[in-house]
Amino acid sequence: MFRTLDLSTSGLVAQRTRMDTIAGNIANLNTTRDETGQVSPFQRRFITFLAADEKGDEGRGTGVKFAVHVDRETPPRKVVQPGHPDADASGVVSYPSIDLTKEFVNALEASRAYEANVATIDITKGMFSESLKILA
Amino acid sequence: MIDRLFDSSTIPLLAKVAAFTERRHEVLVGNVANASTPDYRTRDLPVADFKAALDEAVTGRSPPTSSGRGLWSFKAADEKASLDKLFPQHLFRAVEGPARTLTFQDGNNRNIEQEVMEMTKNSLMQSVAIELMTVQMNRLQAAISEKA
Repeated sequence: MFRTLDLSTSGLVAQRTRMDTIAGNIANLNTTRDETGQVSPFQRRFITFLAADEKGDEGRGTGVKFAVHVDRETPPRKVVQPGHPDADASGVVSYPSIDLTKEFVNALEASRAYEANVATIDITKGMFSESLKILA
Repeated sequence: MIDRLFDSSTIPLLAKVAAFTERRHEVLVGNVANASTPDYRTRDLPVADFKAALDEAVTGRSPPTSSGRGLWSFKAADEKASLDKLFPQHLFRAVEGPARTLTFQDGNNRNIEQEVMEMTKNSLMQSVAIELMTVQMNRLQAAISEKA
């Protein structure tokens, strides 16, 4: 039964981390410099999930593993802003290519998935206290 | 003597039901945890097989004999072995569900409502098994202390 709670927790952590990446993307919607102050548009973070199948646990429930990646492929969004301090020689500023719609759809899915995992924890707790009744 | 009392009740079977439902709950929780994992296929224990095994165990009980003092028992002689034979280990191993659906592009056949519904039914089943065990224990307790 304790393992069941671990599985739910893995889901919770994964979805919360996903929410973190989304929050970071939205916060850096217009960031044109990196952490050292160099001109370099923020690159979108995203998360990938993987079923955490462990050796010896075949045929049992499985948790979820995740990894955070940086999107280095998508080209930045170019805006002509000649007076901008971060504009290049031709007056073009590179902004991060973050699509708010995509981010919010992901955020919604993450929060629903988080809720679902909380619901399973509630059910687990119910079953757990039920099991303890045998002791009575 | 006390072993025979337990064997003639349904407690051994109810214990199997409780163990099965707890393991199944774990598998269903894994499905919800992987609700966002691409190419993950939902898993479940073979419920129909377990029900069949349970049915066989109930109908296959030894009838009362003269030496059995009129108690129905689960083949009390080698009760442990026969219960393990009736409920083989593969009943407690998860199998993957049907292949991908067309609903999602990521190859995951998630269905959260279905999973939570199954989970609720499953936890009720566990509750029933434990309640019935408790009732039988209480009855035994009443008999021991000669209370009505």
